[in-house]
Amino acid sequence: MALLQVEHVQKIYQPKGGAVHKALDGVSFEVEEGSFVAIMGPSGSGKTTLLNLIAGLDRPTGGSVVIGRQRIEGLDEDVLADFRRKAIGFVFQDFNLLDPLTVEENVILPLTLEKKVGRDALNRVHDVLKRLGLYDKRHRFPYELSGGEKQRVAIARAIVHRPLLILADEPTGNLDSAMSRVILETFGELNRTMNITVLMVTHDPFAASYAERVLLLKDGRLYAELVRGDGRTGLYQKIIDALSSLEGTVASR
Amino acid sequence: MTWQALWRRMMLRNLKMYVGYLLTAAFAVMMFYLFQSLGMSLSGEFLTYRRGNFLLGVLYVTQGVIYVFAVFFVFYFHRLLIQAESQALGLLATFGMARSARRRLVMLESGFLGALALFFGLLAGIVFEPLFMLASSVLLRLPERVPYAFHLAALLRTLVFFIALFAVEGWMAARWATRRWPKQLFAAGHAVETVRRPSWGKGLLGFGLLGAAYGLAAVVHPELFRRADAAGMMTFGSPTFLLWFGLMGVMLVLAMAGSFFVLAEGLRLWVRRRRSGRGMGAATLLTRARLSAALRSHAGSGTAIATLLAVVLAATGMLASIQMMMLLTTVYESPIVVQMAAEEGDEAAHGALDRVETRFREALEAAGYDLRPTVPLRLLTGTVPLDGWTTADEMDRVAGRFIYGIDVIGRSDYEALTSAIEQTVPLLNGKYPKVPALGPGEAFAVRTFTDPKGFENLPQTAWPKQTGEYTVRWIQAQDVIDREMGGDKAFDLESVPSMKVRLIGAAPTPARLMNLSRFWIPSATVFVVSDETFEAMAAQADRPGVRFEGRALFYPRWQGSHPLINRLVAEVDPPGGSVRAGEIDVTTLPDGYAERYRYAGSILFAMALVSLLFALASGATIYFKVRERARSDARQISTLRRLGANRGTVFRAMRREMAVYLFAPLALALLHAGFALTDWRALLILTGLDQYREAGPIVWKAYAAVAAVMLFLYACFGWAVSAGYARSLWRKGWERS
Ligand SMILES: Nc1ncnc2c1ncn2[C@@H]1O[C@H](COP(=O)(O)OP(=O)(O)O)[C@@H](O)[C@H]1O
Ligand SMILES: [Mg+2]
Repeated sequence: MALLQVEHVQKIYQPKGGAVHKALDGVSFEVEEGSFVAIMGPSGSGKTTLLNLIAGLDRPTGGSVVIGRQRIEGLDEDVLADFRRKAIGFVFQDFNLLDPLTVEENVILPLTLEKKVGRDALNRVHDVLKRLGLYDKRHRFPYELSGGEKQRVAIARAIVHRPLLILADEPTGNLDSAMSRVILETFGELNRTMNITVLMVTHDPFAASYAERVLLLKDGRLYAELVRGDGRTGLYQKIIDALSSLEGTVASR
Repeated sequence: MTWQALWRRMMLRNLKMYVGYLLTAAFAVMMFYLFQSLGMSLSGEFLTYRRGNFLLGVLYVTQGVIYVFAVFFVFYFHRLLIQAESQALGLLATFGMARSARRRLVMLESGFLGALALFFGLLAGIVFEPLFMLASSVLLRLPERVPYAFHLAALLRTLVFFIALFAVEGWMAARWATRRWPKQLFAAGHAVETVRRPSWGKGLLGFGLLGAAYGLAAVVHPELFRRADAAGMMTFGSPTFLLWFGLMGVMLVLAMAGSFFVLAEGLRLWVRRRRSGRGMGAATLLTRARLSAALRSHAGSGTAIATLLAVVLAATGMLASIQMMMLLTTVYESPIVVQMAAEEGDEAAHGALDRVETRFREALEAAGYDLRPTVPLRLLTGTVPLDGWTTADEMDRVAGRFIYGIDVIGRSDYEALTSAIEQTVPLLNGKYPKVPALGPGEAFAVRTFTDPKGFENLPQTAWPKQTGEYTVRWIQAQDVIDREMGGDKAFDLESVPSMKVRLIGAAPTPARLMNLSRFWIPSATVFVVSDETFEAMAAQADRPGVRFEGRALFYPRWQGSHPLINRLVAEVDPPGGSVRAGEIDVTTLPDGYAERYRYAGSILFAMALVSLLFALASGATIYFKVRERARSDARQISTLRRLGANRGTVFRAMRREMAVYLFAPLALALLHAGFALTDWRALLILTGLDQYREAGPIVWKAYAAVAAVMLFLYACFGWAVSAGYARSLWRKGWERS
């Protein structure tokens, strides 16, 4: 059974005094448990909006989102919050670390929202930090870290409570290519070894090629779906082809 | 570990963000407590001296101002803090923190900050209370020290008020934080940095609104009053009055809206203006870029600050003008420092005058006052008929409006008296007219207590100013009573001694010539005659109730002598006093002066503390607003360093930026207050309160003084903060790169 079902999701923005803007226009897809799915699209195509709706950080205008057996829309905010706490890990494009807290404190924060946090929680944090190569830097503050390290802290924070689903919004958007590679490999490894389902949003074909499946988003609609056949480079090539045909449609319009 | 513990750590490490809020809130608590306590100390047995209630009034008004301010400040600033924390709140919500927990978190934080402010405010209040009482006694020139006493009620009232305030505010902030979706919380955290092109339309609208407000204040509002008043429509509560009153609110709203648009858009237009031809330094480029990004987000706080400062400036100008007018009136009414008087011809009183004079001189000299030679006072009170008074009609008009009471004084007495006054009472220097040469039988009229304009406009029928011949009659009070009451003695005008004088000129003075006395109510008009003429008149006017004598004492630095003077007067006045002297009357300037001074002092004292509170609040707000951007600032600066900007450029840019944040609201406040005071001055003149037209310059002097103090404080504050901030960013920028 699919872990995530997105059905006809629609989001309309109407800024004060501005024109109606359809950020998402009837998007539907499913994500199987244990898979690594990327959503690709140019900037402004509605990727962040989609991710926010899936995580229940914002309300859709129409359509429905089901995670596990839980229908997201229409849920009470508190139930939603409770659900997020247990089932979802979120990685933001701009890291979103709390500046006054150390690495360790930033990572343990989601755990403290459960009732009890003791020695075992700290051990879990240390495990995750070790896995991501940040254990030695656990007492540093965010401003003392490089961009890639910050993003790894954000990832540690997103997986520390063992969620069903990780939602990552352009996790490599602010990083150089070497660092991007490390992050993407981390996702791949988490996906393989811990069987965590990953839904990653990106505008970078290289990043998308790490996934098993790539959904192409354009102007708020799903445009194409690509599946990894026999390796990363093959997928990468498929993405590039799809993108150039996408540009072709733009040009021919 | 719990999230509460993490949150506490976060707050502790972010302490700098809360410092301004805590400091200002604690200061407000302290002032609230101190004023409560002072009010209680004064309203007990202590406040037995005359009209002391005025002081209490000032205290209550100040407390009211602090009430309103505290509410405004706590709500405004804590909202800023919560917004700064909205990223963290958004994260917590994303990780699944329930709304009830978020509500609890925000309320706890509000309560914690409130408790800190209350604790330190009350602690400071209790510690500084003795000092505050001492300062109050000295600054208000109270006759004794305000006794120090701990007032539990003051403590409780402060606690109740502020606990209620922090609780309500915390509840509102919690509502704000829980009613938002995580995405909205993230957006609230960094919506400030969006750069938008400044809008010409809104910028011009801002200037237009300001122009409208200022036009109303300078022209329309006073003119409405003038016309309506002339038409008799300015009665309290009438529609015209309500319109006039309502216009003030309109002006306030216009000025605030105008300030906002000018700060948000107009200033950015100016910042981004193109300068073709000349090159632009790196610091200028940097300042412009940063300002045009940040000014919009500063516009709200800038408007609030401009309003606060304008209120302080305008209120100070208004109160200063009222107080100075009252002080002037006091001096005008009692120009003689110590005046003792008796009826001439009373031998006992004459002896008593000598004794009292000696007693005063000795006591004052012993206290270190440098007494000038005593000026003798000799005065005749008479009447003159005005024009059209013929002997036939005199009988009917003796007590009517066609005779006019005058005082007569000899020329050398006049000159000795006025020169002594002018030399020892600075406010009266140059206020008395010089008398031209006088021949026998000639008189010069000095119209006292009159401004030059009023003098011009006074008709001859209201008082004798036309040159020509007048008959001075030595009518005594008994004559009038006999006639009015139809007493036994028929009033025979012919039997009243009289003398003809020729008036050769007249001039006004805003002051009186002598203090009000039990024996004579000084006439508005004094005839100055030559010494020989005076002797002749005195000999003729040898009737009871017509001739008076007295002594006038003068010494420099009399302003501080009132406690001693009060004691000396008490010796003369009450029964059983040691210098009990029968029919003599002592009036002094220091007494009334001290009282007026106390009023002025209490108002200025309160205003000074309130403006300190306001200055602290605006400083804290600006500091916070700047600090809030520290992260993006550090990033910008590290980028600039990589591009090769040096320390000087960065520091110069920061200093300029801070100068705009600080001085733009101050400049607006100066303008607002300037126009408000123009309106106020017009009102003072129109209502006749400012009959001598002295309030104008005083208003502007007070305005200039307060403005100078503010400019100075701002310059110091801005310099210190911008240098310190630039330095810390410079270091951070280094660490990051
Ligand atoms: N709060 C908002 N109000 C109005 N329009 C918005 C808002 N947030 C996003 N948009 C618009 O919706 C579209 C999709 O935005 P987003 O999901 O952030 O795109 P992406 O993440 O793919 O770059 C964009 O055109 C953006 O301008
Ligand atoms: Mg995005």
